[in-house]
Amino acid sequence: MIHRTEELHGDVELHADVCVIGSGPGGAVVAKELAERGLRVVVLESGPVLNSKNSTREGGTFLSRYVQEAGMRVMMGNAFVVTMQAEALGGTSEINSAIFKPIPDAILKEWIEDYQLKDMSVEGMRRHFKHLEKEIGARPTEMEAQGMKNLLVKRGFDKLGWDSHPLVRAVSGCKGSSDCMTSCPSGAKKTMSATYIPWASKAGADVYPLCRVRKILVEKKWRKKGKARGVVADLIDPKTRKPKGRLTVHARAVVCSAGVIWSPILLRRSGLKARWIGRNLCAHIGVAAFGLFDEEVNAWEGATQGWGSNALFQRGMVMESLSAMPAMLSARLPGVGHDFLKRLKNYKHTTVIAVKPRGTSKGIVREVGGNPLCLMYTRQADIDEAAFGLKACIDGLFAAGAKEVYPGCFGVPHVMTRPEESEKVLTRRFGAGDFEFMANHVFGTCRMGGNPKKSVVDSWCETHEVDDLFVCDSSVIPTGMINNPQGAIMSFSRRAAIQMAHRYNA
Amino acid sequence: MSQANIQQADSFQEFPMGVQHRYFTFHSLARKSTKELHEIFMRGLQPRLEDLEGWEFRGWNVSSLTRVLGFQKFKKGFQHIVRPSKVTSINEYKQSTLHGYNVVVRQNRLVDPHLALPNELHPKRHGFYLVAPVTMGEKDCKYPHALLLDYSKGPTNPIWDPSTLLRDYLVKPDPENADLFLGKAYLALGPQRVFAGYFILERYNHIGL
Repeated sequence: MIHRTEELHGDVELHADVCVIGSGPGGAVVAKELAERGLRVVVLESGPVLNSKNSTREGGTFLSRYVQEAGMRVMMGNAFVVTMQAEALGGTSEINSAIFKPIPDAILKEWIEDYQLKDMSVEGMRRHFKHLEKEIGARPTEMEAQGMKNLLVKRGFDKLGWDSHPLVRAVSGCKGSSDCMTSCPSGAKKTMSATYIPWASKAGADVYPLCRVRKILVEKKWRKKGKARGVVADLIDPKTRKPKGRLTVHARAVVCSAGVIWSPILLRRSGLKARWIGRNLCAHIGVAAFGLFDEEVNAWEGATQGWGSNALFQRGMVMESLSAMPAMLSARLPGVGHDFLKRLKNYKHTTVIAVKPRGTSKGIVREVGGNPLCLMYTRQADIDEAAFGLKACIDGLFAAGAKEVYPGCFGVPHVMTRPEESEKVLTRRFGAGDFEFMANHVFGTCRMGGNPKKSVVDSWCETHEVDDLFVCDSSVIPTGMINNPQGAIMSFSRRAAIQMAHRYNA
Repeated sequence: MSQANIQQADSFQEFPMGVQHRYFTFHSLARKSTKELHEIFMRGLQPRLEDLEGWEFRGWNVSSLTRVLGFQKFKKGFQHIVRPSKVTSINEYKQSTLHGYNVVVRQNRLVDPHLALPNELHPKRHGFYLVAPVTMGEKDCKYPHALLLDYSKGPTNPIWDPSTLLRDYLVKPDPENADLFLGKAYLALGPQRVFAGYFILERYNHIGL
């Protein structure tokens, strides 16, 4: 049952077999798998319920209500890298484009070998992914839903003879409303709140939105491994977003699916001391270029991200069409004053190609004054690789017929009018501050591995340090993975959940 | 997790000499010893020319001496030299020679991108070679199951270029992975062939992209 937490007050105590923290792709899959196998499951989600009725297309309002830190979170360091994670029932699946891709085999093999994941196999993970792909109904974005913005990207890739394909998304019957980021108005997007959360609830799980976990209860005995015993959470007032009561869950096991930023913070708050908690923050640090076309594009029509190319896949990058709320994306148009206004008027003639390199930069997540602090050092090699990818995006836009391209970086013409100008991106030595980076795919802060000294969880997502405490979100993914991570998160989580069910049902 | 609860995973395969692996990857091969690489090399298969043509591969010389000498990381490209006036059919095209080259890249970590020098727009290509299956009876026919990269037949190597002394043999260590190759380099010093080291190649980007 999905509870109305607004009706809870004071101190509440619950008992369960498993308490799941977070209702994103990791937590929702775990909850559903465990509930269907007969376990008593409680899911705690810090955010409110988000659906087409209470959503808004007004960017600022939406970000402040449903995105952590109102969408203003940056990973600080030699560059400011914007990153967004949702705070709503369903987690970041509520605001992403629902792109559904597997872990590339070569990368999974690399993880198995480099991180001693002895119990994992490529074939096994592929089976989990295939099951989830079928279960969630992922399919290539239909041509009717593409919209001009994606078809122009297709035109560019096709003209260059590059790999060019519709993006596979967890969407059924996409109406092309371009509203993936603000909760799909037609219900076509298969978010966790539309799929795994109601399925878990139907199987008997109790779901509590607006419950922010403060700490995981860990029972520790002298010279013995700790054991997870439950969680303590604050009941959150939906209007003030402040605590109004306390909820304690006593459980045989705890699954932390609070995300890359909050999972390590919760583990540290709960007394875990493993060296790698909060370290190894990795990200797909992406860049994008705008193209201005003669024809009307109307970027608010068509699938949010409908077309992609794997032309640079072997090199560790994917290129995808991209759109977002005009309030967010238009801020990246070049120029100031009248110059900027002129470009804003032409916004309906623009589309975007983005590229996401796999990246090797690392950072850390710490808690300062109750809030996350994310630090990231963007390495020169990643900056140069981003420049390489950016050139490909610029080439794609010109090939599609763009009359102007805005590369979105400093040190080269901010408006390019000739295809040859894209070469300037390769001849300049960029610094970290020259790009407007964005990285919504983040990983690694509770990384998986066979060596307890170099990892936080084992290949079954159980922490090395504390028994019956699991982490099932993208923080267990050891490195960047080129592809969008939702499929990977769900695959790891399903695999771990099935093993948990064996253990706790025995 | 009890053994009974753990799903069956692929078991480790053991080679003689105790080479344990489940999957060959660029990183895992880079960390193997010379003995282990020899075992893997001897069990490798001959790559198909079609799998190489038109691509550049990121490369890693396993010997740490190459790090000191400044060429541990590199890229290799493979492309057909086609003489249009002579090629009149697909078969003739396929029989036209496959050549390759090396690209100087930034010497950074194993996990870092292979970034061409001086820049991606004008990469420095050098060390050209001819690619062909090993032909028995020829001077360089040590490994019949490999491809031979013969630098002495590189079309544009200057006569004084020391890379003309190189003879590389190339195999595919994993029959199911057409993106990963293991090479064994020799120096041709007169009639002698002196082992120079192992290198690894992995598919990286289309030529010209």
